[in-house]
Amino acid sequence: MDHAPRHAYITGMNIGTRISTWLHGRVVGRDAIGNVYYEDKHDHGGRRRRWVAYAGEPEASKVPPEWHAWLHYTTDAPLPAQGRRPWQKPHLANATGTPAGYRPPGHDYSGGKRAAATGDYEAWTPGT
Amino acid sequence: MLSDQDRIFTNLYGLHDWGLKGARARGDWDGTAAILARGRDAIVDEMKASGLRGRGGAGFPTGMKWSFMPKTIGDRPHYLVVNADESEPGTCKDRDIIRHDPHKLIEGCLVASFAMGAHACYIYIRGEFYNEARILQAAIDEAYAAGLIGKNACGSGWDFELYLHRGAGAYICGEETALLESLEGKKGMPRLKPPFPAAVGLYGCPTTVNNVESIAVAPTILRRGAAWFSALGRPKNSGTKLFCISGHVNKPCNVEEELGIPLRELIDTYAGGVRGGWDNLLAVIPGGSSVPVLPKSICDTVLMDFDSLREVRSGLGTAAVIVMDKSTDIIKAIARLSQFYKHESCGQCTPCREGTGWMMRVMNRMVQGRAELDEIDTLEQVTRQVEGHTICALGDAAAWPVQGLIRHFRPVLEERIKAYKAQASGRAASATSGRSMPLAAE
Amino acid sequence: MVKVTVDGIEVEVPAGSNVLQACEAAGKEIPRFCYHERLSVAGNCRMCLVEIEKAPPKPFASCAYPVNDGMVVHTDSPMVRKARRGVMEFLLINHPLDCPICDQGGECDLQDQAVAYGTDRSRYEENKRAVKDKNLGPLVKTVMTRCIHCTRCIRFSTEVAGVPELGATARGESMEVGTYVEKALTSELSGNLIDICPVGALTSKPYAFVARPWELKKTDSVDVLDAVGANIRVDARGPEVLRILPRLNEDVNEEWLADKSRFSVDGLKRRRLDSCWVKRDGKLRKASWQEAFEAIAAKLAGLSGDRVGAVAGNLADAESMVALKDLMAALGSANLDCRQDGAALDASCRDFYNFNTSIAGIEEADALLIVGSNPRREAPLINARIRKRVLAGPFPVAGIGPEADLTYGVDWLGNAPAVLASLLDGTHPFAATLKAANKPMIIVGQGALARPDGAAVLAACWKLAAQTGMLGAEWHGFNVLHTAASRVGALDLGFVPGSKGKGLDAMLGGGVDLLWLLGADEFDTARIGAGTFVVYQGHHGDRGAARADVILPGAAYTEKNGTYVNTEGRVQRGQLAVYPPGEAREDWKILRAFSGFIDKPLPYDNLTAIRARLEQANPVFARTNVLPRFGCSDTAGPAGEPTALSGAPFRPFIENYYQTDPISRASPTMAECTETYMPTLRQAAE
Repeated sequence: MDHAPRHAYITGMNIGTRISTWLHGRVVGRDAIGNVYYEDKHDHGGRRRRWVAYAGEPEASKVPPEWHAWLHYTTDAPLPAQGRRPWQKPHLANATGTPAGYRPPGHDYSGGKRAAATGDYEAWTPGT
Repeated sequence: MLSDQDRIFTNLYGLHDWGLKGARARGDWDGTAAILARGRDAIVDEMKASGLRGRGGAGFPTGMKWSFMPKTIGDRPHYLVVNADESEPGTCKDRDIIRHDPHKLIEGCLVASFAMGAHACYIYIRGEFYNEARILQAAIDEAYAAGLIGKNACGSGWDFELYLHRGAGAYICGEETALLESLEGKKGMPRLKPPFPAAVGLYGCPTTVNNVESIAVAPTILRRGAAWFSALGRPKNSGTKLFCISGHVNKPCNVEEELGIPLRELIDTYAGGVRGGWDNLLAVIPGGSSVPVLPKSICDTVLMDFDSLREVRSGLGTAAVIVMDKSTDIIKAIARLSQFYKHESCGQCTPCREGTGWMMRVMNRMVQGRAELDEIDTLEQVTRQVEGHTICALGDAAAWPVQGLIRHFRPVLEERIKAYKAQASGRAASATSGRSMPLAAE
Repeated sequence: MVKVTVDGIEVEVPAGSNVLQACEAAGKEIPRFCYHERLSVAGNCRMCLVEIEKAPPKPFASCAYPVNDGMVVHTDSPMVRKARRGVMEFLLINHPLDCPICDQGGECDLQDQAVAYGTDRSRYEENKRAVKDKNLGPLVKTVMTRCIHCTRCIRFSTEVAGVPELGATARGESMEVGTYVEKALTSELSGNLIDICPVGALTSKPYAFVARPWELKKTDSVDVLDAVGANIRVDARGPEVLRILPRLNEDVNEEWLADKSRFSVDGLKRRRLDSCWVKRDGKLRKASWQEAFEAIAAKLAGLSGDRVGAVAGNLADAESMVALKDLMAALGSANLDCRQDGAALDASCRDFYNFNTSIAGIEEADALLIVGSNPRREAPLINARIRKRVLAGPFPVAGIGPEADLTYGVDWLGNAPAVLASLLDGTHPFAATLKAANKPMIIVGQGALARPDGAAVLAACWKLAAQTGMLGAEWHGFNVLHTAASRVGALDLGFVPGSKGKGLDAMLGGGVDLLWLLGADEFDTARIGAGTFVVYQGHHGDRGAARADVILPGAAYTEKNGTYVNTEGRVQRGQLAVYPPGEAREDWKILRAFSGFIDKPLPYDNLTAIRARLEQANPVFARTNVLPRFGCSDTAGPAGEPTALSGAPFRPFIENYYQTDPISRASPTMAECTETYMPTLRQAAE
């Protein structure tokens, strides 16, 4: 994870989004890793558009669950960040494809030995 | 009514001696050598002329069956096999012949064997007929001792060996090819036809399988002439026949009568009438368990012979008349028959093996009425799927009683189902009435 | 021939055919479960119903109805369709319909025919029947609830396999197929029950829940676990061979396959040689090809040709053998042998070591003498052919050797070569039987040849054959029954000591300094001289590898394109189904690479070239799959004195049918079979 800058939109938004956000956006809040959440400040009738400016690389899975629910109109307000249970772990973005991605034990890069599979043969060693 | 002079089985009720002496007194073994001296073709022609139809159920002309045997004895010996595996529910004619008139059968075996060029004859007797087998064996021993059978039987120059084989108690072994299998020591399962036993039968040799009654009447026919026999009864249904009247009659009995006697006359004359009078009659199964049941309306007028019963879509079968009065639960009665056929199916071919069990299970539910109305049609279709699709006739025999029931007693079935439904919904209503909440809300 | 009209198509079929065959001749598919071409007709499934004109208006079982001239058959009339639908409904009411967990799924006759001829729903609302499963031994798994009582298995075991162990007990719905008293099937052909079972009642126990048929890659190949050369289909998924099924070949295996050939597949995954090993400081260590070749080359340096020898094993393909022979020639060695068992096979004439009558030819023979062989163990499929001939009619079979149950009546004349002598001088009554026969045949087993007086026995048998009219211009009744798939090919290639070459005994007794074993495991490796440097090239770590100084990993028969010659001299080709494991390579390529390594390159670089070399070595290799049959043109017998017979009785050549080669010895299934069927052997080995 890269370090979350103070003004996320400076790195996380392209020029069009930045103008649009400046024109229409109203900051609703920001999460632990610095993603900034916006809502349309004008009422066009119907529900207001909600969007996120990512801190660093745009990556949808960076959005934590409490903001994910708000962003997709599941809840009217973001879920409160406080009152978290001790067993709740901090949100992690999907790491697949990055060096931090999960590799099963038999993977060449993880170095471990693969459990025997059905297609395996049993090699002869002297003395057996 | 048949006059006493025309009766063939004069000791049917065992009032006289069954032994050789008694049999001779009744005219058996009289001039047997002379009959044989007429020659093979003459005997077969006489049997053909008599119009005797097989008494085992199918009603195939006996003389014609005999004539199917190869004319000359080739490298394979000929065999006669007598089917005494009488297991059809309601039927007990062969039993009484063997009990009380065994020498008629033995003489018939000799004559028939001679007529088809067989030097050996096997009598396959039902396993449960233990006492009958002892009597028959004693009679065979008597006949051997008197030189009537064995080498140079009756002095005719014909060598004839007669063996008695006891079955082990399976209905299917009454089917001719299953009987041959059983006789060979194998599992009693019907063979595929063709080839017919007359070509490939017992031990692969030409064989004729006949019912006890067909064989036992042969000597008398040959002695008294085909004309006498064919004059009795109706055209194409000539001769006399043993009827076994059982069920709800005042005097169940076996009786010898002309074919073509009206059913009502048969029951009223010999069996003392239906219990509670003719109007108390519900239904009659006219020919052993394998044929469709007839309701009273048909029983009023039907004649007891092969063709008349076929016209009313039933059959003479073994002429075992099972009478049921109005106290009978007809559905339960037929369900019991379905159970019998399920139990006795040999399990060789698919429709019979699976179909009999299916029919039995549906019938058992029908007895309670625990079924849907359209299941009656399903059941009917199932019987049609069994009928005619099997190796032997057991599949047909299992299907026909159910078909007869549906054909004639469909309202009874429907009523039973409706009554059960009404009762069941009543039960459901009383079960829910005690609750404050409807079940669906839970 | 009779004319039959099937659905308007007029066909001519031989008299005596049944209606089903006529329908097939007309190209009409008739559904069936109980009917099987090679079994007697049972006619009990009632699925093959057809309508016949001018017959009683009911459907007839076409498999059991003989054709008449001018018969008109309808296979697709409404009555027929209704009848089939009815039968199918009946079959399914007590069938569990557990296709998702059934191993037959995807290759199930009931599945296919239910789709084609059945209805889409059942009207059966009662409970279904359940049947207890039977334990039929380590090979055949049963799920008897699925059984539809077609009785194919009963008829197969009684008629083809000759072990009447299966039967039906009880009757009606309660009928169950089983072994009466629960026991393992004692047939070497029991695996075929799995093939002929039209539903999933009998399936393969080792293959249970392993794969679905549509996942498998199918490769046509040839079996090498005995010398019959049965045609097989190798079913593989990814890198592993999952099962082996027979392929139809009327001349060889019909459609059967012996159990060892079918169930040894799990041996292909165990004890595999997947890298080179080189012995250093008395211990085998893993090595690269380079190191292994260097070690051999170092040993070869300075060795004269006659101190180098090679032995070909029982599973070797002809390509690798010709390459090894050429390599040895390049090294200047004529020390070659393929007869690991020491059988006195005479390679000078093909007639002396071939099964000349041919397997299909057994059916023409009219008298048989078996000498020192138990075909039931040595070649179960040939035994089945003999049984077929015995069932077909009068066929006197006599045997000289240890008495055994061959599933048909054999007149055992005794267990001594002296009987052979008495047949030769005509004093034995069976000599007259052979003489009287038109097409008598003799089968000489390896048990008669792999003994000190083997050459004499071979010569005596040949002389007997000549005396009793077996060696005619049209009929060749002299047969040697081999047990090794490579043997006839090796003899065809002349893989026997050349001029001044040493044979197996001489090589083992210190006659050579470098011994190249091409998959040779079937002799006592302790006989190899202590100073001999052993190169083992093969696919399984077995006896040979345990003694080796250098191990070169080769390919098993499913992993290479190989040519094999079966006992009757039929040249057949197996195909590569999966690649050899790890570093292992196809054997002829290893030899070619080594020849290049020592700068004596063999003149072939691809399969086409080496097969051209095979043809050049012996023209018989040009003719694959077909086997032209010849009479005997030259009755001069093999070298050997027919009178020099010893008094020692013949011994069984194969003690344990289930474990005869490195593959089957590595197979857990075959080990289990050994334990089940030959418990005494198992104890003796421990």
